[in-house]
Order: sequence, then structure tokens, then C-alpha cells
Amino acid sequence: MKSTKLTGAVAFVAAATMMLGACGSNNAAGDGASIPAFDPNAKTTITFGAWALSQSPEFTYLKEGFMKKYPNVTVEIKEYSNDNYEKQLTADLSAGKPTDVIPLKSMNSYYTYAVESKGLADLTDIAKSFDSKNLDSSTHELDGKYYGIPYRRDFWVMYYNKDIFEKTGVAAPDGTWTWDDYVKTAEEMKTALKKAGYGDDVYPTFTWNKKSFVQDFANNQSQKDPKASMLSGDYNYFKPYYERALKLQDEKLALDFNTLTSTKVTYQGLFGSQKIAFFPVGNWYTSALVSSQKNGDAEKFNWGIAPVPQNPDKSTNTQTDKPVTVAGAMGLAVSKYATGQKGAAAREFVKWAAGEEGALELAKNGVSPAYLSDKVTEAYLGAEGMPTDELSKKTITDFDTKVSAPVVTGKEISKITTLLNDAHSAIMTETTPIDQALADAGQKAKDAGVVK
Amino acid sequence: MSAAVPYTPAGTIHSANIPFNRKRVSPLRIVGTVVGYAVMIAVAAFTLLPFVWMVLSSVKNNNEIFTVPIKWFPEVWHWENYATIWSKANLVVWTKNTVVIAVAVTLLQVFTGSFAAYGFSKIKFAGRDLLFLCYIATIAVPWQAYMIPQFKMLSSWGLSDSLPSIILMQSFSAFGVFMMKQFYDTIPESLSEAARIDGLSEFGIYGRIILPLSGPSIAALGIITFTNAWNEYMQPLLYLRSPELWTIQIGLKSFVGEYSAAYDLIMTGSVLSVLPILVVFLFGQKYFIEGIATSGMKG
Amino acid sequence: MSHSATSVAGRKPTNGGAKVIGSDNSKELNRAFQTVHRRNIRNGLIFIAPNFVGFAVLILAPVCSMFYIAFSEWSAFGDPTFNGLANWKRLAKDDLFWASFWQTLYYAVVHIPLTLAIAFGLAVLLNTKLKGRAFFRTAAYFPYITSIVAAAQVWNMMFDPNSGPINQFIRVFTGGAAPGWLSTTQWAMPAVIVVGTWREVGYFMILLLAGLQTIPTELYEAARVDGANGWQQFWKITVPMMRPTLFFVLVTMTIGSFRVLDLTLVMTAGGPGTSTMVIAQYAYRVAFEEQEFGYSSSVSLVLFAMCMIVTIIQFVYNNIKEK
Repeated sequence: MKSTKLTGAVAFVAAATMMLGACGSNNAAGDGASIPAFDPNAKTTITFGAWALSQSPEFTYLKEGFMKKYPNVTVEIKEYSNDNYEKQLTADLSAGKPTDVIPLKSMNSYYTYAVESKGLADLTDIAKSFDSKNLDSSTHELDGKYYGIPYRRDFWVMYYNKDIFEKTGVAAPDGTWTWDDYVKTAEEMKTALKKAGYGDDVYPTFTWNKKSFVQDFANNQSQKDPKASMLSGDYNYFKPYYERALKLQDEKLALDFNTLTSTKVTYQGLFGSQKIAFFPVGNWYTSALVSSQKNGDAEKFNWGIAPVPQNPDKSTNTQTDKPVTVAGAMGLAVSKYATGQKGAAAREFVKWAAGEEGALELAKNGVSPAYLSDKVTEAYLGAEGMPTDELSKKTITDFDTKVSAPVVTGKEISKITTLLNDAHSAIMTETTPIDQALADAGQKAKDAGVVK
Repeated sequence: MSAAVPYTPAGTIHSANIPFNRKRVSPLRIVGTVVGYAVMIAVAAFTLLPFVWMVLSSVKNNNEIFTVPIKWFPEVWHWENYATIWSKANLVVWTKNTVVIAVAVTLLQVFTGSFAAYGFSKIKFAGRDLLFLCYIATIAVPWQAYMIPQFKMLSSWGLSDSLPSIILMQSFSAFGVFMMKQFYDTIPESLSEAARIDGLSEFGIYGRIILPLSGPSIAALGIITFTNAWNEYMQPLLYLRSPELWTIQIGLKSFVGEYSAAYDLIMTGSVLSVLPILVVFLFGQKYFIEGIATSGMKG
Repeated sequence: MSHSATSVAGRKPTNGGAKVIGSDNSKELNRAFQTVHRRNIRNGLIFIAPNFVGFAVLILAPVCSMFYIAFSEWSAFGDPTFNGLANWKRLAKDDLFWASFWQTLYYAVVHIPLTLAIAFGLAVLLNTKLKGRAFFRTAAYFPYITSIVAAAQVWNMMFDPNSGPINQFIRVFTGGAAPGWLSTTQWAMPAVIVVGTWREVGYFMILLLAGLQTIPTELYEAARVDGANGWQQFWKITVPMMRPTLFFVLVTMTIGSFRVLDLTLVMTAGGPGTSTMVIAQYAYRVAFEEQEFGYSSSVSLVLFAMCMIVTIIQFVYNNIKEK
């Protein structure tokens, strides 16, 4: 009996190991060379990953636009989870079964997907086919190669409720604000709101409980080389930004972090029901705000867009002649497992979506595309519900993201990002003083060996 | 016979014990009963409170849900939320999928689990304890530690975006075997011994003696398996991509993502997602209340 | 009646085969023993097989792969590369891991006795002829069937330091002082424990109740005739008779507490800071946020070892007690 048991156990471990091995070697995938030229007359079906379709209609716009141009190609959308897209994608890539066209949701895991999964096709030729004046693909460059092409670029702006500013008589944003002006206006607004008869539940501004709200601005507005600063292990430069964030919540100029985390109230809900006067967020909010005002989920009021406040500290200010903000690029990749006409069609889709035609589809629906041209800008500004005042127009067209995004590729950065998230939560819950939390994060990064 | 278990609530864990006894109604017993009810009502209030809040929120206007200080009752009762959600969420499809998964998992788990448990509990054979420890050991491994290898395996069989993958993963978990084995251990050995002497085969003992006796535990396993399968979130999330295969939990979660501000509808959906299990529970618990308690040893 | 009472309470479960040994005629007995032995193996395997086949392929095999991955570097893609003890050296020096280790113990040490005491109490109470017990049973099970996302939402609001009903209630007694719950590092874990207990009490109550109902009432009657009081009956009949169920409840509760994940994930996401970060969540985070499945498996393996140590202690203790 003993021996039977032992044999069983051995066979078992062997089987388990074999399984791993077998699954690991399923990379019978095509590389660029074996992909034929795209044949628009061939009947082809490609799959396209997407999430939260009613909230992010851009996937449908792209699908329909492309199918209109190439009636023989069917684009089939596979719906992923909005919050867990990357986990699902990791599993898919690991099993070698992703969709043919893969949206790259965040830059955080781009490096892993591109370099380690070996599941993304090399799209360097497509990236090179664009003029960098129109399409800046540098966000997705890894050692001269491109595994993703940006098709959408969101940047942070400040939304404000024109009606509230009018009623309270506080001076509306004029495009020259620094963060000090921002805090000062919030204080002024607080008393003005009361005088104008607003309730206690109306706040001057809103602080997002994600770390990007504080840290990304500090990175881009006060550091010459954000990536180097992130890798330095010394995060003291976040301090002025945190002091202002704490001031906002201590003086009740914005809902505090704890309330936000525990009640999960959203800026969409608050701004939409006129409970906040002004706040910075990504310009992806525009299309959502327009549609929710249209379908009645949000109240109807006048709003505008202004540039995000700038760094008041002259010694570290990186502002050029344009306001510096934070931007994020979202890219499209092609699965390496898509071969033959499928692969060719998927590439054509990416090329089309990232190019001017795809950009126009997005822009006219109020989604900000990565591809820039006068035609696209015009379409974007002309999208339904888009504010038409001069400041809003200027904000949308005239800004600087310095480095086009805080480039967060590479293993080290994703570790540091997690640590800085912890620091952010420790500071904003006011459980740890700013200095100590930032020093701890630096120390932990050193311990983990990701910074020197 | 009438007093099934002779304890008062207060005596169960810590302090004084007053045996229930129909013959003498002592003041102490009355106090015990009163305390018993007080405890039960307090516990019920405590456990139901969040659910009550959920139900009340589901009939509120969205802006009324998060108020400071907390407001329990809506100004206007928005029952129409229950109508609205059907048009915004694909509840019928989600419910159908979840029912398919939960029923299949429960049947497979109860059937194979109780069968295997008999082997582990009542038949002594070499290597039994070791094999059994293997079963328990897998419970101790967090799913995320092996989900990628498992995913690779199932998708290499072409099952990744399908309901059978979810059913397969849950049906053979060690949980059911472990639980049923422990319940069978409670059934006195003398029963199966007597049957063996009478010449009954192991299958006969299982079918004619053990199975009829394990009604309450099978009901408990069934209810728990059903609940777990119903509420399972991570596995369908990782495996299912096609909206027509979504389960309630995935659907709700995606609904939360899409209507992130519509907490009234989210709460409405949550209430609706709980109702089917409630029915199963009410149905199932009848069985194990009327269980074997008094007749078990007659054989 | 009394026969069954003694045979149940007094003896460990054995079976037909084992009982025959111990007589004189050794050769014949040996053969008989062999037959029974073989038959038992055959029967045992037949009973186990339907479940075991599925279990071995779908669960055991992937679980076994974890043991290899824990000694490798692996980003979920391609093959894991064996890297010996590198993960373990890193683990020993990883502050966050150790913090999560202690927090897991904290959670388990408070959560387990609390939940067990309340669940057992409720089970015994609900096993009586109490009027309306069906309602209470349902009420107690309710938290377990409520979606955890909804539950976390409600509790987070109830724990709100300023306006939450819990603190409003506490202030009545303390005159103003009340804990900050989820917004402070000291009180976040107690809040999580309260919710964990709330959620699981009904579940374990159901299990214990099912166990209680398999105890023959005759035992209690016999004991009462012998003059045993409730307390004595509890310890002399209920607890020994419940031992298999208690063992199951304790093992699953311990394992469940050690690997608690969804609760902290939806309630606090490990915060504030890392004050409610538990091992399972750390493993999860290392795997999916930092794409280090190898190191994550090492963390999971520690969790596994913790569970197994406690389980084996319980297993051995249980076997001794049954003899």
C-alpha cells in the first residue's frame, strides 16, 4: 500500500508539473513577418476587448466606424470588468487567449504585458507610420519598439459650476490660478456659499481619494524629470501638495478622505447634483457629464473648463508658457496569437482607430483622442454639450503635459506606485504625519531593492 | 421528549444553567426564556440592520442615500426603482446563469461529497487519513495562489469563457467532503456495525441507513454550497467574458461600474440578488428543523 | 436505550474489520483480516472516486504547482524560472509581509473565539423549542447571503466616526469620546473583526445546528435521570457528541480567518496605511499589482503552512480526544 501511495503522489506531482510546462509552451504565435497584407474583401471576424460599454461608448463608436469602412470585417466586442480588466487580461495572456485587439487600460502593467507576456505583437511599423506631430507614441516605446499605439489621451482640467460662481459672486477661474489661489478661492467660496443660502452639504471643492490627485501633479509640476524623481526614493517633494490637500479637508473645504472612502460618494454624483463648485479631474468626465445632463441623471446647470492650478513655488515650478497638467494615454495592442487575416485585420483596426478617422469618431462624441490635427480639434470642440466659452476652448487646446505622461513603465515603478498608495492613504487619513509617511515609503522602496 | 435541548441561552457559554423542564415551571425558567428572547431579538436586530438599510436605500432617491447624519426613511418611496432596474440590467439572464451554476454545483457537491465522505468516515483503509489531510490541505491554499495554473488548464480545454468551467471548479472542492465526513462521524458507529453483521453491503448501509439519517446535514451542505456558489465572485469574474454568460454577482458589479453614482439602483439590484437564496434557505431549513433529532437512535 | 448511549459517548468509531483482531487463531484471522482489508480499500476507493477524480484534476493538481512556483520567479507568463531560496530571503526581510503576518494573527485570534462562542450559543438556543426560531435562524443567516459589497457599504457608513449610528450610540455613554474606527490605524482592525463576526456567525451557527440535531435526545434524558445539570450535560454530552462537527467548524474557521481576503478588500483595501493588510491580501497584491506570481506564491505558501500547522494540531488533538 505504501508504495502505491508513493507512486500516486509522484505521478501527481509529475502531472502537475507537466501541466505547467505544457501550458507554458503554447506560444505557437505569429510574429510580424508572417502576417499577410490586409485584404479588405476577405470575410474576417476580430475580437475587441472592452469594458463598461454604456459608460465608455467609445468602443462601440470605433467598432461601428471600422465596420462601416470595411463591411467584410466583423468586430466582436468582448466585455471585460471595468475594475478588474487587468486581472482578466493577465489570465488571458497567460493562457495565450486574449482578444485580437487589446486595449491597454493603464500604463502600469504595459511593461509586463509587452516584455514579459510576449503576447503582444510588435507594432513598430504602425507607430512609425504616423507623424509624431499628429500622434505622439513615445509613451509606448520600449527600446525602440512599440507594442501599443495610443488612441486616446485624457488630461486633467478643472471643471467649475458657472451658476454657483455667479450666485456667490466669487471670481471665476481665469486660467492663471496656482494651487494657493485654488485654496484661497475655496476658503472664500465657503463663506460665500453660506451667505448665498447654500446648504451644509455643498462644498467649494473636491479632493479625489486616489493618490494621483496629489502625487501626479507634484511629479509633473515640480519635477524636471518625474521618472527620475520617482526612482530617487526621496519623496519629500510631495509635501507642499499634501499640505494643501490636508488643509482642504481640515477646513472642510472638501469632503474628507475618510468620508469619501467609507461612503464611496463620487465626484460625478456630487458635481452633477451641484454639490461642488470647482474641482480638477480628467477630461474624460466631459462626455459623461454631457450625457448625464441629457438623460436627467445630473441636474442642468452651466459649467466650464479651466486649466488645472499650477505650482506656486517658483523655485520648483516647471511651467513653461503653457499650464502643466497630467495626462494619461490609453493604447491599443494586437494579440500575437492573431494570425493570418485576423492578425492583418486587427492591425488595420489599430492603425485606423489611432489615426485621424478613428480620432474623428471619438472626438465628435466628446472623447479626447490621442491623434491631434485641426480637424480633430474642431470636431472635439464641436461635440454636443461641449462648453463653448473661450477659456474652456483654450484649456482644451493649449496645455503642456511636459513629459506626455508620467511614464510609469517598468517593474520598479509599479512597486513604488503601490508603496506610494499606502503612503497616500496614511497621510490622508491623518494617521501618519506627512514627513514620516513619505520617508517610510522611501525606506520600503529601498528595502525592496527598487531604488538605490 | 418535548424539551429537545435542555439549555437556557445564558447558560450556553458562560454562566448559570437552568435546564428546561416541562414539569416544574420555575421562576428561573421564565427568566431564562425572557433572556433568551431578549438575546434573540438583539441578535436579529444586529444582523438584519444592514439589510434593512439596503432595502430602504433601494426605495430612496439617489441623493437621499448618503446623507450626514444618516437618514433611515425616504421622503418619497421610490418603488419604481424595482421596475427601472429590469430595463437597465439584464437580470433575467444573470439570474438564469446563476441558477444553473448554483444548482449544478449543489447537486454535484452534495452527491459526490456525501458519497466520498462515507468512504472517509465509515470505511477504514490504509492511507485514508493521509488522503483526507490532502483534501483539507487544499482548503488552506488561497485560490489566488493557483488560479493562473488552473485557468491555463481549463482554457487549454477550451472552457475559459463558459459556465461548465465555473461548475467544475466549485463542484469538487474539498469543503463538501470534509463537512459531510464530520457529520457522518457524529452518527454512531454502532449503527453501521449492526448493519454489517446483518450482512448489508457498504452501499446498502450508505443508502439505507446513513443517507436517511443525514437529512439535516445534507440540507445544511446544500444550503451552504448553494449560497457560496450564488455569491461566488472571483471565479466568474476571471473566467466569463461574454455578457450572456454573466452571473448575478458579475452583472451587479458591472452595473455598479456603469452606474457608479446610482446607488439606489445598486441597492435595488442587491436586494433582488438576495431574494432567491432566501427562498432556498427558507425551503431548505424546514428540512433540517424537522430533522432526525429524536428518531436517530431507534434503529 | 442505554446501550446506545454508552456506545456513542464512550467509544471511538471503529469498524467491522478492526474489531475482529485480538483473538487467538492468528492465521485464520490474518486471512480474514486481509480480505476485509482489501475489501475496505476497494469499497473506500469506490466511494471516494467520483469526487476524487474531479478534485485531483481540477484542484489538487493546480495546488501542487504552487509548491514549485513558490521557489520560482514568474510573472504569470511563460514558464516559472526556478530561483531557489531567493523569494524566501526576500520574504524574511519584507516589512510589509511581517506586518501583514501579525495583522492576520490579530484578526484570527480575536475573530475565532468570538465567532465560535456566539455561533455555538445561538445554535444551542435555536435548537430549543423557542417560538419564532425559524425567523431567528433566518435572521442569523442573513448576513452570509447578503452580497459582501453591499454589506461593506452599509457597515462603512455605520462606522462613520462623526455621523455613523454606532458612534452616535457610543457617545450616549461616553459623553463625546468615540473611536475613529476605519479612519484610524488602531480601530480599523476591530471594525473589520466586528463585520467579519457579524457575517460568519450565522453561517457557523447553521453548521453547529446541523451537528446538534444529530445528537439523540435520549442521551439528555438518560443524563437527566442520572441527575446531571445543564452545565454537566453540555460538557459531558453536547461537546463530546459534537466533536466531529466542532472539529470541522474550528478547522474551516481557522483557515477562513487566516486567509481572510474579500472582507478587507472591500471594506478597507488594507488601509488606513497598511493597518488592515492581511497575508492573503498581500499575496493578492503582489501577484496582481506587481505581477510577481512567484513571490506571491511564497507568501501563499506561508499562509498554507500556518493553516496546516493549526489544522494538524487540531487533527491530532481531535483524534486523541476521540479515543
